[in-house]
Amino acid sequence: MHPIMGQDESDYSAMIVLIAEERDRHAFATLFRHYAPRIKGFALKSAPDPAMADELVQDTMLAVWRAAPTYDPRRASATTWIFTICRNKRIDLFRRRSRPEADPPEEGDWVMQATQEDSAEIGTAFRRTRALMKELPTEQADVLRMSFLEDKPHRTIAAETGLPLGTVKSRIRLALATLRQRLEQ
Amino acid sequence: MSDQHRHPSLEILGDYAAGGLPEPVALALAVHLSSCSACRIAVQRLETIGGVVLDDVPPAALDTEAALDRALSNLGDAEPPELPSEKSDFPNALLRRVPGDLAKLPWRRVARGVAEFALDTYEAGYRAKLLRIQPGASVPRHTHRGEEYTVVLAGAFNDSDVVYEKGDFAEADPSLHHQPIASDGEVCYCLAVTNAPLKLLSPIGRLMDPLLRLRTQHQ
Repeated sequence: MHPIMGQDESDYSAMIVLIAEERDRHAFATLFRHYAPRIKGFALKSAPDPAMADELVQDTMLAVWRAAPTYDPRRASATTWIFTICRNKRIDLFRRRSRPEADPPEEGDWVMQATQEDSAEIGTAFRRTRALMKELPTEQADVLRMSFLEDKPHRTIAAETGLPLGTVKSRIRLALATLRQRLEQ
Repeated sequence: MSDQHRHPSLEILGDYAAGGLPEPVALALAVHLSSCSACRIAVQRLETIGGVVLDDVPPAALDTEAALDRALSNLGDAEPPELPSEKSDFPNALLRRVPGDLAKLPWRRVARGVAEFALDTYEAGYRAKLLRIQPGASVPRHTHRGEEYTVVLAGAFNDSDVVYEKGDFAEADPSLHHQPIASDGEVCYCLAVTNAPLKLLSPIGRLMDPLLRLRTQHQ
């Protein structure tokens, strides 16, 4: 597989599957070139420490290689899955504690089966989420982005923005409620 | 689903998806998610926001080829994913934090039929404890100075006419005055996480409450 310009989410999903099934190093290199600068940019948002940011890139991408067999393209887009790995590795690295994770669902869990989406639907959901986030009032979208970008509790966001804690919480709550409601439509 | 009783609020789910939820609260939530597919799916959908944020973040300057070479040289060391340990009555996230068999922990009695065992926490200002409530026994009537997150590990309790069973999640704040009572038949075990001390409401409770007792002495 050769890296080509203008790849989209489903191409990156396919590469994760290639890594899972064939331990394909070329697919890994393509993913790495796309995601490494973004992961570093993401890391620098929570701590302005380039050495830590480089570590987060390495930790995340090695975990992508290792965990590829657990990736299910019907459940998450490539970027969303890589975000979850990056988020967890950031918690490991910066807080030196691992994040408590739920047990994997039981085989044959009826709710999981009932909502099993295909990878095309997952791509659509990703694009819709992006579009809906753009429609949010700026004041809500800003604190929502901060809560995902920066590994910080709401009270830290409040301190940084100078907003009262209650305002930060209510803006995030409103943003989440709007997204959930519109995504279900 | 998530705004109803017995499930975490959307805010908590969103903060868990974002990664900002304090560790002890994340532990209580992980226990809930281990048995609640609806909230697990809600978290998966919320994680899409993180995907969009990662996609939109301005890429940082990086010597990509050097970093890639370093990663490629380490791929051989990247071990396969940890397999989930054998099936237990309790989620793995909890088992990692509880030193051994629940029944054999050094429980500390706090009221008739109620005992607690404090877990280590890794977040300033938070306390996490396991509660053991005998069938029919109740936690003294109290309210909260901060937030409390409770997840049921075994058995059930009744709080203001809502029955919380294994895996159910309850949130309480200073507006709530309550007296949870364990259901008959089975010992109820819970994990309770707080970020401020409780405030006992009964006359005897008030005598037991050091902060209030101190205030009384000053009057």
